Amino acid sequence: MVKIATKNPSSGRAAYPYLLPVLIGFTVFTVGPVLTSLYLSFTHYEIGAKPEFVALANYRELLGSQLFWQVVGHTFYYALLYVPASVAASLGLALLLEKKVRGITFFRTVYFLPVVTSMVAAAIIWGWLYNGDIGLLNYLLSLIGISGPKWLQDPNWALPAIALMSVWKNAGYNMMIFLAGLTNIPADYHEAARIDGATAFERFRHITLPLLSPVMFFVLVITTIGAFQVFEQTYVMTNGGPGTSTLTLSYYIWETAFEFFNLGTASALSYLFFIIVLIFTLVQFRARKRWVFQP
Amino acid sequence: MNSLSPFLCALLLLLGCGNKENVQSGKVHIKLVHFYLDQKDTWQHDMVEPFMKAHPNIEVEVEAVPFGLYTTKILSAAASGVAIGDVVVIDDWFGQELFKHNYTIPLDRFYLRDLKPDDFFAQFFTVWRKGNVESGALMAMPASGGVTALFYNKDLFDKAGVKYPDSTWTYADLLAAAHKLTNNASDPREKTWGILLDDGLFTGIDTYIYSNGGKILSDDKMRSAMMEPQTIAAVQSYVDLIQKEHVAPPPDPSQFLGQRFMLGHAAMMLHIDVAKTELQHATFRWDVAAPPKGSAGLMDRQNGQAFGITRTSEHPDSAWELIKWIVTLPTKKGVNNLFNSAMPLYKPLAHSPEFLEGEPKCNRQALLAINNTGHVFTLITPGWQEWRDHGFIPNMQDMLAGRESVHDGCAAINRRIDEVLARVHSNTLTRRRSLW
Repeated sequence: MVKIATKNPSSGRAAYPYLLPVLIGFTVFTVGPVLTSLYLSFTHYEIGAKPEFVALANYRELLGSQLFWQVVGHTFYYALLYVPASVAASLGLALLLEKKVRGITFFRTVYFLPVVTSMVAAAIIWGWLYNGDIGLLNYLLSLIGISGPKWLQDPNWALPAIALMSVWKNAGYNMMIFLAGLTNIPADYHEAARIDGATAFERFRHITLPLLSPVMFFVLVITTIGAFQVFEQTYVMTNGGPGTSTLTLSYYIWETAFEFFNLGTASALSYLFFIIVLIFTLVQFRARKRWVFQP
Repeated sequence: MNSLSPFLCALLLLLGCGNKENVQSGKVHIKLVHFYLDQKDTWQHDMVEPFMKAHPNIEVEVEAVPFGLYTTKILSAAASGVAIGDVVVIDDWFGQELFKHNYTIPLDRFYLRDLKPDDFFAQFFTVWRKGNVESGALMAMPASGGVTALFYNKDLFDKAGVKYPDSTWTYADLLAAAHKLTNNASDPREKTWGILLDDGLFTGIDTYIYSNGGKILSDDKMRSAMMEPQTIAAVQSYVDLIQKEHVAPPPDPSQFLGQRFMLGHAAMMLHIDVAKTELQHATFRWDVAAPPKGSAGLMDRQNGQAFGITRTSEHPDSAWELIKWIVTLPTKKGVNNLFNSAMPLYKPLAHSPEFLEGEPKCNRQALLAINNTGHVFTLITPGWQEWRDHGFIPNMQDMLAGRESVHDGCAAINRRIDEVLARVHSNTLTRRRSLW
């Protein structure tokens, strides 16, 4: 017999001391900085000086800045390149690695390896692969008669190149989530469809995809948020260049705060960033009803 | 009351631990914080220990912070109003951010009292003065200075039969040599370029522009000078080295500055002289020379490190004794390693065999001579990182890659520099007026 603790008010109070360490940590390290940065976003705050209240001046300055909108554009462009490619690649890998064949664990491990590799190390290696003169990628392309672009030197190619590297780096993580989702789809459905004469594509289209849609939704949300947060790749591979072609929001916030020491502006940027991500996530949640399977 | 006693005892013990005076020994305790982590032992053995031996009443605690973390640490400390130590090392690029808010104390009275200005390379001092102007208070004592040097690959020069550069070189000589040193190999792995250009205002490009009569900032550093005709002409000739003369490769943001030279794919580069430490294990023979002279003679962008006393230090006199020791280093031991082989600004040290013959061996005399034959300048302003990273570098990369005309690029840089400088120099009143 299980007793429901909430029926006894005194037992509820007893939980508070146990929750206290977490509550203190959450307040000090999460709620505190969030509220402080919200206040700082309304100040002119330079290193070494006291914050000076400037109301909405930082927001007005940013929203009127051409560079800010360029940076927002780059971030959206990156997300547009990265999210569909990443979801498609990880779903494809998951479908391939779902099969119960010999050595499948080895292949799952191999595809997961980039996830546990340091992003900085991976970005440096990919920087070499992308080298326009002596990089492996252009060498391989030259073998089939293609003259590859100067990947990271060309403003038109730099962001797609970084997106491609990110897909390679992170596909394994989503692959594992998809694999877990695929495992939960009852085999009976596929078997019944097969008996009814459904082709492999039809089974995928009408059984796998709908039943996987809650997982797909989750993957889509976290991958989109991750895309908006892209930082290490641009930091290591291009420093936001060439020109400002790979300058993205996270990098811009970091530069403004820790390179230019404008902590007030950086805080305002962070909140604009938060609003953008929030809007996108809300849109995704709103659209969920249209395509996510609800049993 | 009894139950409180253990807490009071613990409190007193904690307070006692925080006391900077070593009461028992009667020594003054000061803390030195630096970012020379790789030279941590050299600093301890060749700098701190001899100092403490010569100053038995001063005890020095040393904290070596990785360079990558140092700026964040010191600027965070400055932001929160606490000092990370009594004596701190400061790099020129963030010095003004600290000086603006008096994170360190003026050192003029110590400097003029204990040291002879003639014993120092005076040109390097301005950047350490408040506001980066001659009349500003000296907020940190410069210890080492760097200049832009012309690095050259002797193997490639010998192979092309080109005479090594010397102090008589002009930019016309450099261009002529660069043509001879550039080969037209179709295989990019075999390709060698005459010269590798700086695209990021790291010291090479500004040295070129100023030597050729241009200016990036006005003399008072309050506004941009990018649209002055001489500047546009200088930038155009710099861009032409890539676009018209084809003696230099286009910029590649995926490569660190100097990478092509260090891999033997470029015969020359204009680069900060401390890059020589990166070449210690180069697979080719190399040396350094002073940058060529242009229409304005030799103008050389400086950089360097200095030591400041934090305003919260309780022992500024002892801290100054340590700084005095650091910049003059009476033992001379370790002078080459302490500052990553950068030139000491104290002349007796700079001219000492310990420095001149230090590793990596190269023509250090040629760089010292710049103090006599050229003019050293700085571009550091409050907000300089911002106008550099979001104005100068992106537009310069576009110009060098041929994506933007020199006129349009200079105009964009001009606009950005003026925007940033106007903002950082604007006063509180101006900001308040602009509120919504």
